[in-house]
Parts: sequence; C-alpha cells; structure tokens
Amino acid sequence: MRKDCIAGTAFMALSAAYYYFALDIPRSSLSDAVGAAYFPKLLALCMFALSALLVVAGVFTKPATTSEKVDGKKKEGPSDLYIFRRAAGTLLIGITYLLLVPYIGYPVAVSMVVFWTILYFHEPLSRKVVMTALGAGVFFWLLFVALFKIPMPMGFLALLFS
Amino acid sequence: MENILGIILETLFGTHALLGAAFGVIWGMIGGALPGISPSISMALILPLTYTMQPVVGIITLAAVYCGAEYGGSIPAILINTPGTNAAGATTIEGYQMKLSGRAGEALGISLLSGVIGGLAGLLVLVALIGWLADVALLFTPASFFAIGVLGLSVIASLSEESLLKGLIPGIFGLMIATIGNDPVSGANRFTFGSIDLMSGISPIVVMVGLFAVSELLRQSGLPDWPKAGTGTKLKLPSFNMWRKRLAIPHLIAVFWGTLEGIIPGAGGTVAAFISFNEAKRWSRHKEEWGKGNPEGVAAPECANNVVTATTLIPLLAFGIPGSNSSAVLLGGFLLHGMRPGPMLFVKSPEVVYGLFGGLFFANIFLLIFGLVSLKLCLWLVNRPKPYVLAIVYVLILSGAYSLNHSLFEPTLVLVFGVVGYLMRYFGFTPLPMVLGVILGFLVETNFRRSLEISGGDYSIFIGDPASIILLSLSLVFVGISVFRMVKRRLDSSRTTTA
Repeated sequence: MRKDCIAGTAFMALSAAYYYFALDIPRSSLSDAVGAAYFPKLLALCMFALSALLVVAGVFTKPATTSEKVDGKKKEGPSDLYIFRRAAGTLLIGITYLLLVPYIGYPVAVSMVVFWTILYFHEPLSRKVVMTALGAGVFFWLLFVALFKIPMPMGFLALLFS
Repeated sequence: MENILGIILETLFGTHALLGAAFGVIWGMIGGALPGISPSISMALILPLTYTMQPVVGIITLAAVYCGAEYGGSIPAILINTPGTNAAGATTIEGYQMKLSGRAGEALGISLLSGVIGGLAGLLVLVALIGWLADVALLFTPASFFAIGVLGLSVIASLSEESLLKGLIPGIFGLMIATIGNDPVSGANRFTFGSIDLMSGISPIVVMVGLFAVSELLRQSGLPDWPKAGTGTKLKLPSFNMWRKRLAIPHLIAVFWGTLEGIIPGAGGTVAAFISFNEAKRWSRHKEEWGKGNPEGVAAPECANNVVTATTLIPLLAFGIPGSNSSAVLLGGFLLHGMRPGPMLFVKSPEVVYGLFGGLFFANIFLLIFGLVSLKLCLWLVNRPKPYVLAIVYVLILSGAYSLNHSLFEPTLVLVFGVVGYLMRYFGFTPLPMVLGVILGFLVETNFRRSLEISGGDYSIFIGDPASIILLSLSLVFVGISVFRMVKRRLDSSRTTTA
C-alpha cells in the first residue's frame, strides 16, 4: 500500500531526527541512574522499528485491498489534490490570522477569519456575510475580552482607544 | 456518607456548578446537533474556557457537554439521516425510518427520554462501582503508577484493531511529544531548541484541540455541505405504557452494554450503541417492524451512548485512563486545573469527584428540560449553512487556544497539530493513541524512573508490587484480546474473499 510506505518512511525519518537530537540532551549532575535521554532514545528506536515494519507491510500488501482502489475502480468523489488544496486554503486563513492579529487587533482579525472562511466555503458574497463577519468580531471581543478578561492582542485598536 | 452528601451539596449550591452543568448541556446539544462536530470536538472547543472557571465547575461543564452532545447527535440522525455523533450512527437506521413515516417527533422524544434514563442509570453504576476505589488509593507506589500508565497505553491495542502498527506508531509519537520540555527528574532541557515556550512542554489540550477540532475543520473543507432538515417537527415524549411495553427491555439491554463498554477502555459509546441496537433487535417481540421505523431501534442506542457518558468515567477517575476521545478531553480538563485523575484524586480532590457525580445528575435533569424546550433552536442550527458554522468554529479554536496562556504560541501549535491530525487521518491513523501518549507520557516515564531509583536499578520492582503486577497483567490481557480479535477478523475476511 503506497500510503503506508509513505507514512512509514516519514515516521522513520522523524524517529532518526528525534534520536539525533536526543544525543544532545545534557547529562545533569541531578540526574537519576537512567538519565534524561534514556526514554527518548528508547522511543526513537521503537518508532524506527515499527515504522520500518509499516513500510515492509505496505510493500507486501496487495493494492486491490487498499482504500485507493475498490474492485479495480478508482474511488469516487473529489481527487486527493483537490482535498489537500482546500485544506491548505483553510489553514492559510488561520496562519494569516496569527500573522496579522498583533497589528490589526483581535476584533478585526476575527471578522477577517469569519469573512474569508465563509467565502472560502463557497458562500457567495452578500450583505449577510459582511454583517456576520462584523457581528462575530464584536461578539467574540465581548465574550473573550469583556467577559472572560482575556487580554487579546488589540494592535492599532489599542492606540485608538488609549 | 453524610460527609459525601455534604460535599456534593456544597459543590452544587456553593459554586456555579449548576450554571456550568446547564451551559454544558446546551453547548453539547448544539455541538452534537451539528454534523461534523463530535462530542469530543464540542468539549475541546470549550476546554480552554473552563480554565477561567473553578476546577469542579470546569469539569462538570465538560461532562455536561458530553451528555448534551450524545442527545444532540440524534437530532440530525433522525431528521436528515446524518448522525451528529459517531454513536448516533445506529440511531439513523430506525430513527430516519420513523421520520419518513411521519413520526420524527416521537423518535426525538424516545431519543431524549432514553438519553436521560441512560445517563442516570450510568451515573448509578458509576457511583456504585467507584466508591471502593477510594480505599485502594493509598496502596499505590511509583511502580503501580507506572503500571497504570502502561495499562492506559495498552488501550491503544484495542483502539487499533484494524492495524496494530497504525495504533502503536501514533501512540509512540504522542510519548515523544510528551518528552519535549524540562525533564521531570533532572530538569535538563529536552528538544526545546532554545525556545522558552517549549521549556514547560506541550500541553495535551493544545494537542487535542489540534488533532480533533482543527483536523476536522480541514477535512470538512473538502466535503460538500450537509443536508437540511424541515422545521415543523414537534417533540413527543413516549407515555409510561409505551415505555413499559416497548422501551423498557431495550433500555435494560442498553444499560448492560453501556456499562460494559464504558468500563472497558477503548470501546466507547459508538460500540455500545451498535451492540445495544443489535441486541434489542435480537430480543424484540416486534421483529416485523425493524427496518420500517421501530422505536426500540432508537431507544437502545440512544440509551447506551448516554450510559457510556457516565461509565466511561470509571477507568478515567479510578486509573486516569481515558477510554475514548471525549474522556481524553475530560482528562485534559483535569490536567488544565492541575489535577491528575487516578486513585489519589479521591484523596486530594474529593470535592471534584463527588461534585462531578452531583453535577452529572443535574446535567441529565437539564438535558430533559432543555431537550423539551430547545428543539426549535436545534432545528435552526441543523439548518445553518456549513460555511457560517465552520467560520465560528475556527474563531473559537483560535481564540480558545490563545486564552490558555495569553500567547500566540498555543494557537500556532494548535494549527500544527491540526495538520498532523489531518495527515494522520489521511494515511489511516487514528489520533486517539497519540493523545493517550501525550497524556500518559509524563506518568509513565516519571514513575518508571522513580521506581528504578527506589530499587537501585532493579527492574524486578515492577513485578514485586501486587498492584503493579495486577495492572500489568490486565494490560497484557487487553493487548491479547485485541490481537486475538484482529487475527480472527483477518482470518474471517480472508476466508470470505476466498469463498
């Protein structure tokens, strides 16, 4: 199974990197007999062995039994590439929020997330979308900042209200 | 006994526990009613907000969300043939048939009553079974705590019956994440790469919100909109006669299976619901109605999944082992307030344990009340367009993660773990073993090393301690049963293919 081989290889690489960094864990004079690096090294070795087994199992599994093909036919529905692109777009909205929120402030950033997410999920641009985005900005500011007293980043808004 | 009652009353009426239970039930019903928002996601979304609450109120709120969500999940299952939760999958079979024959209100009424009966019956079982564990608490040594951690990790085997490898790998990945930060024994920095934010480690809550909520959000972005329900349904509770003649036996079956599946870590409400559905069908006196909208087919699974909301707390409170996604999030709630479920919880925080019992009782009463009056709200929610719902969920995730530590580091990590969870699901891995690894990593490593420190490096300490040997044997039994089931299923499937 191709997916198992890819996943197994990725986990093997991860465990190798993890082991490499475990070698750098300093030995403290306060440490016990086992030491701080013992467990991480053990985990890395276990992970490497299991991932290698997954790769081997993937190589010897017949493709007909995989989820990629059923009864010789390709699975129905959107392609993997389309699904990944959609997920990446959704993720990008969150990343943009994290990058901008310290500058544009929490209520504006929330409105932006709501606005772009709604449009991204195929809703046509309308007054309802704009009003929902603006309303969400105010509502979540009231909920988190005014009610729960969470000091959300206010960006330029802090200057306006100071 | 009087003392326990006093603790319960003081918790319920001396804090905002009742308010938390009421809010939790409403939140859970809303979350459960929205397809794609599972009970664990509903709980994960509200988890950071419970940080601002008193510990007992926060825990009761989370447990109430679980109760509400299991009922909420039946609303879209009955009305649009789309289960709001995994456990409600069994409800769709007869529930949607009832809707098609114009009995949607009756099906919703049966679902509500069955949920409340299940929740209260499960609570009774929980109180009856867990009491004696408080006395066992003081017998536990570091070796026993290590064995508890191993028992928790053995759950991974039962969670990964399709492929043991695909359960073990994320489990170890979770343990790896748990090693990030200061070493609990020597204080040495591990995998922090000079980052101050990483020195205190990665919170299990961040991992859970990412793996459950963000990965689902990313997954939903590639799926079509969910169907819509009508708005004219009116809820109708079954009469006592109807209950006695048709629903009592399915409820009894559901209480039995809900108890059993709740206690066994890894099984959970979905398995209980499907087994109860199947058993109710087997024992039914009205076999001709099955497949055409039999009320027994709604009563059994809905009762069973609510029994599990209480009985799943038995392994959680007694051993600190979360047996399902939802109880893993509840465990996250305990950790958020600096408490670790397990035998010592009864000694250190009895007000939380007994307060939780009282809170669960009222959560079920609130479920009945809100279930009766809030159907219109739930119908309105089921009919909301998916883009609006997911946009609000996204903001809740980002805002909630920030409020954990008032830092943008947590929401960043939440997105990272969201991607990890999304890719894991794409490659056929389940995220719960990873969560178990993150949660139990500290417990396992610390007590393993403490035990060896006490024994002077002698590994026989783990089999010399009676509690430890029992728990380790139990772990072996769990793993053995899972491996046996997996091998049997593979053999059956290869026989079917050959035939």
